[in-house]
Amino acid sequence: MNIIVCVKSVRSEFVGSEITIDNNYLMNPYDLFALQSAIDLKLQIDCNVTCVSMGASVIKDSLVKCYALGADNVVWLKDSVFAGSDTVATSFILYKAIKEISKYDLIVCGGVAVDGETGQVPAGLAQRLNIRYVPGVKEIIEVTKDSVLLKTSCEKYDNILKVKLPAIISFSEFTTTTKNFSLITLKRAQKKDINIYTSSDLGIDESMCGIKGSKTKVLDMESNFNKKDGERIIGNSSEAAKLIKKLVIGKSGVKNYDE
Amino acid sequence: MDFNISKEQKQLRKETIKFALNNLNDNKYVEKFSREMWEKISNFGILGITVDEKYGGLNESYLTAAIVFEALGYACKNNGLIFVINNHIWVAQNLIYLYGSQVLKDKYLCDMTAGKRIGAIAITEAESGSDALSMTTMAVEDGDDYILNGSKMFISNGPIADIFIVFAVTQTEPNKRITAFVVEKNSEGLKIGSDIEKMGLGACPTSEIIFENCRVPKENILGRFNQGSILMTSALEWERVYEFVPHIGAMQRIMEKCIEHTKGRKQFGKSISEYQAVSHKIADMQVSIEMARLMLYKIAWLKDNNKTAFNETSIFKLYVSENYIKTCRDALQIFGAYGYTKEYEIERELRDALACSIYSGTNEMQKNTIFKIASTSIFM
Repeated sequence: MNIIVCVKSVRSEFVGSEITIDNNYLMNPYDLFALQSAIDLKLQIDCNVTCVSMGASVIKDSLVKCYALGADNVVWLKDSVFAGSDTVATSFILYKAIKEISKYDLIVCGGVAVDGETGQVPAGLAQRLNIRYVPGVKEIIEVTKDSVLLKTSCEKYDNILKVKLPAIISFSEFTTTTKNFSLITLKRAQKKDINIYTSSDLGIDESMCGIKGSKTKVLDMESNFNKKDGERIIGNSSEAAKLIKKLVIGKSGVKNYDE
Repeated sequence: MDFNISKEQKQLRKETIKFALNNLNDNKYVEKFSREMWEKISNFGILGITVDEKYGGLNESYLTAAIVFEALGYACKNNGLIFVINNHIWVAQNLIYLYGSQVLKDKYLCDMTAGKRIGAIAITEAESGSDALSMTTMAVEDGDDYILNGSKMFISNGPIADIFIVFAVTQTEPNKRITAFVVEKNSEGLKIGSDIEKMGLGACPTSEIIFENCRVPKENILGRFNQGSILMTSALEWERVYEFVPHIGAMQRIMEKCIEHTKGRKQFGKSISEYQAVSHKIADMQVSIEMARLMLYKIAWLKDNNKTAFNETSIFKLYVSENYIKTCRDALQIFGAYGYTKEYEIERELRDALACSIYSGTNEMQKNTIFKIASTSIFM
């Protein structure tokens, strides 16, 4: 069975992970969940997992991590003309790459990228490939060579769906933590080849990708993790209790607090 | 000179930091050795970092090892645990790797890189510390074996080690000569003393080991017979580098803690970081970290190019140990009364740091060595 996982790297400030060391780009948490779910399928069925990712040199760490987490192949869509692609252009580029890879039964994506949150790329990709699309997946329950059993979520309830393959699914779950892997695994991952596709490899004209191929243009992006200014107050537990009392009574009007 | 770190090295550093932050900082094990922690470290694959892949290692350069171990020292606050790791790798496993016969390498290395067997080195005795060659533990030939009698003191990893690199006297006349032996824990006649309670480095168990007619096969001679002093010199050279690399990371960690504290702590209406008496201490920390790193990179380069670094490691050991202690002492002062409490862990950092002026050859002995270097070296 052939599984393709679409992976995006985003600026680390959008991930909000406590541990951000050295690198400005981390794997989109929804895609990381998707990838780890796909890798877990290897326990159920004999499958080949290929990661596809588009980006500049800054995403290399994430690509190596795909191998370290258990991917069998990594495809890097790397071309300066891809820069600035919106969801329309991105889904087109991914479509061309997947056609080039040619073998797929299941395509797995994160539901949204935390830096844009449009959630449009998986749907656009499904439309272009003319295959079934299931959003809001929480869990892949079971997979066979012909179908996949999914738990999906709506606002108030969960569904269990059986979907015929080929299909695209996108996850509503995310994670920022990877399973531990050893230095040996990482070293082996660093040595593996990453297949690079450019626009000419994929037969993509400049007018169909990047800013020229986009219907929308991102003018600016800023994080909404507002870190408010705070004051650090150091004191003993009695002083802290008095302060908390002052703050709590002041806000909620609680009157029966005993000293 | 290219001081750039490669992307691969950066990634190894990053993953080491992540691993240590997520797995090695459980406060339950800061003052006692944990098998659980040891297994995690073994599975992470760090133990065989410079050993050939055929023995389960990563075959990385000494520079990469330096980068990784500095990262470990930065992210893992359990200084005792790092001390266990370093003793195992650099003065036990590494000696077998570099000087062991093929028989010894095949017998021990795979288990050591996998963490299945823990190593320790045994040089010091109750009456021979700095004067290591005045040791009295004897090894006498008996057929295909040697019989060891004597004892070694303050052996780091003693209570938990499976393999000891033991230095014993094998010739007294006309000159005293020593030989290194690989001695297994379950050897008849080997006794391990009880754990010695120390001021710091609580997670690294330390004990006496006693040899009473302890039989060791001849094939377990490490290096050449009667040439143990060469191995001892080499062991101390490795110890002086890699025991102290994590201290640079620790200094970085402590400095960052101080910076965060000084920004939040206000006295007389402003952050204490604005007072030079405080900020200059932090400046000193930064200077010492950078200088230590530069020396480390030179030493790693020498080692990667199969050159001796005896002089450099002596200077490095002295510099890092003095500044590590100073960093901890200054941190205690910056944190004030809070630093004196257990909760802030600054006092533990200082207790752990104080040992480094003693182990791997006291700082006084290093100054003796450095004086000789200075007296005999030529600038051009």
